[in-house]
Amino acid sequence: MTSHGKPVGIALSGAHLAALLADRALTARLNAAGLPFAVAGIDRIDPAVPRSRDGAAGRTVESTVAAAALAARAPDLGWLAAAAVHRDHPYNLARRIASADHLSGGRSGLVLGLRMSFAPPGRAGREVWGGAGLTEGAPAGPETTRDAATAIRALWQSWPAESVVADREARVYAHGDQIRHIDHRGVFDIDGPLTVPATPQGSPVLAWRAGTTGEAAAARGVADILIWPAGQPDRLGAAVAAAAAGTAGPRLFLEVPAGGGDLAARLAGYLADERVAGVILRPAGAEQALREFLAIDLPGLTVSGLTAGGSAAPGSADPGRGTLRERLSLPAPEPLPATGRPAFPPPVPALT
Amino acid sequence: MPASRQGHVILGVNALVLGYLPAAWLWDPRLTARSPVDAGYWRHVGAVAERGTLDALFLADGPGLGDPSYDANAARLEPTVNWAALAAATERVGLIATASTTFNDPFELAERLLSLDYASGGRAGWNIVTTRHGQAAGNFGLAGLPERGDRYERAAEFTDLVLALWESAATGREVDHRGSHFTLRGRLRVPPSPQGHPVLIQAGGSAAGRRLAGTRAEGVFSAELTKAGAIEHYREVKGYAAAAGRSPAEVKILPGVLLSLGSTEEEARRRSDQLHELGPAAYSVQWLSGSLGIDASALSLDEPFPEDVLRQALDPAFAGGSIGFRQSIVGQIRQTRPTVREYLRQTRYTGSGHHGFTGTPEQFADHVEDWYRSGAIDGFNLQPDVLADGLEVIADEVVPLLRRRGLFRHEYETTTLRGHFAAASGRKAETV
Repeated sequence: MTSHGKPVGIALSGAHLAALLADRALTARLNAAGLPFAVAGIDRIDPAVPRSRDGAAGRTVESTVAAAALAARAPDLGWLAAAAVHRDHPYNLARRIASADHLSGGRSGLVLGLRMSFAPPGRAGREVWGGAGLTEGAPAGPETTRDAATAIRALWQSWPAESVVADREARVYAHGDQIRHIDHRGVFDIDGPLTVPATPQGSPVLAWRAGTTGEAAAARGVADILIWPAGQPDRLGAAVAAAAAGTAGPRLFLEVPAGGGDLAARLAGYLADERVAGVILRPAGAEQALREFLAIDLPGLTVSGLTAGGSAAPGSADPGRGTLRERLSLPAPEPLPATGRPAFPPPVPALT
Repeated sequence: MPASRQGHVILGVNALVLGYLPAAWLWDPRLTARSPVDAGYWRHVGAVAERGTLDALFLADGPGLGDPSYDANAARLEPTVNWAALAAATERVGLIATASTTFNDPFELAERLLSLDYASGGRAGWNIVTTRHGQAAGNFGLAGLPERGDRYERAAEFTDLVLALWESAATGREVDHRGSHFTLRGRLRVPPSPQGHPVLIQAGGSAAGRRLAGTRAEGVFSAELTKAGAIEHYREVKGYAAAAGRSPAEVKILPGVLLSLGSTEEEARRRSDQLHELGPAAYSVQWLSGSLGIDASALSLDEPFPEDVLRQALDPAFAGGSIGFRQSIVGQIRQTRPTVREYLRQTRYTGSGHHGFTGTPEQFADHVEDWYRSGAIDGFNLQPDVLADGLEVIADEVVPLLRRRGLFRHEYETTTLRGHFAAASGRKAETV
């Protein structure tokens, strides 16, 4: 157990994902590092990542596919995929994250950003879903992301798990009438329901990586977690206020660069801040930075009691166990009112 | 048997979640309420497929929910994510994911599919579909599906753009695309996989679909009811390939076959009957409605099919269902002129849309050998009635019979899906 009781995870770049998928020994080292969770592809939604004209430089791997594969190979970590509804539709994204959550036994989540750094930007003002050529497209911004987050949360609850009864005698698999359309109308129009039932942890974790107080305010009421880059300590208070973080709003997790000799002292300082619910350490983007972080920096933090290390003491909370919500000390998702149109008629039990 | 062929058959398995019949969830005591979304279930499927040295697992898909009240197969994990998780638990079997050209952005899908290919060490395939189920449209802010002609035109542009983007990942050169559906300038930064990029599979049996297959696809998941029809379509697609300057061996023809196997023919039929009777009574009528794009419950069960219904089903401009399935169903009905009730009963054993096979593993091995040596197929996409035990019978009984006849591999000799396909023609190309 850590001395502070707050979760400390890791944020991985696209190049890190590429390396982990190609190198099982490296994935095994990450799995054994005692970290409760990882964010897959943080640079994919980071507007500060240096861009060439067609998007960010360097290598990447699509984050939901990478997270699903790595969740199978690194079963002691929870996995959040970083993505944006830019060239991805909320229905497709909700489906992929819920699928990953089922397959990982409730260890999955989503980190939303405004744009995909590695994708061509698209027509200004119509960049969101405009590239699919189906609708006009919407502007990328906090309101669009908030609308997507609202729809995604509703989709995750559109098929209640308890409606699946698999009653062999009555020959009824599920009570279709308990499944609801979401009939979401906003930037996106989405009828629902989702193609999978609610997941083992109720809903996947929904995080929002915000770079401005405007985004922090938009995350209020829709995100479980607000991820705030730690480089701007003077603005932390404003972000906390905007999101109502820690009270009615999301829990605040600081994203902290994972290099430098003073990392342990900085990390201890952040963890001592009562506004901060957790920290995400972000090594530099290159593959070598991840190798060095695992070999050098992380063991030092574990010795200092700042991270849990590979083998937790008997009887203590094990970072390698439990759903992602449990690892992040998040409550079950707030139930959404089941007032939508039933998706299907009630089943008629077989007469036997 | 006709003249011998070099190489061996290709065997894929179309999972259809728990199996192609809606009562599959009731059949096998090992199945639970969670099986459709359970990693353990899918790992078992992957392990049995690799025990049988099968070429590929295939997942059908559509981004919308059907009624799961009586049918657990309505619960559908997203295929690229499901196969990414299974890639981590398997070594050799190909993993073919269905994804729609109608409800995706080509850049995002190209990146995601290449990522699956990378994560699986070059075992990914993309089954290109345009999506024909109307319930998906409402999930994407559309009042209805785009018209069939538009969907296929879009599919062709989409596919070319995805191929160009995959190329950009290898060359580092930007794609500059200005088409009638998409405008895009950029490149992918996903590392290339050991097979270069995913294998392209085309599903569907329209004339436009067969042309698309001949010019671009490396595999065709087709719907055939008769061997004669299969031979005709086999030659047609191979002809399109040759006309496009490709080797006909570059496109593999893999019709679906609905399978009920038993240790005797009688046992297989009993199994099929029980599975049909366990399923919802309305299922076959619903299936017929969906396939022909009509309300089949309005038909008189003891009359033959009205001629206007059959004529409408053959009209390519008619929007309901899949034209390939419609042609195959009408062809079958015109052969024997059954009543609606007779048709629904006879299709239990012989299939409909896809052809069916009900019998012993030995009889099925004969069937595979006959169609293969007749030049009707390069292999089959097998659709067991219930996957849990059906796949075990394929791996442990059918595959050994085919091996003894020199029709299937004894061990995996190739590591990528494209390598598996090439090895079936006796070639050894591991990469493009």
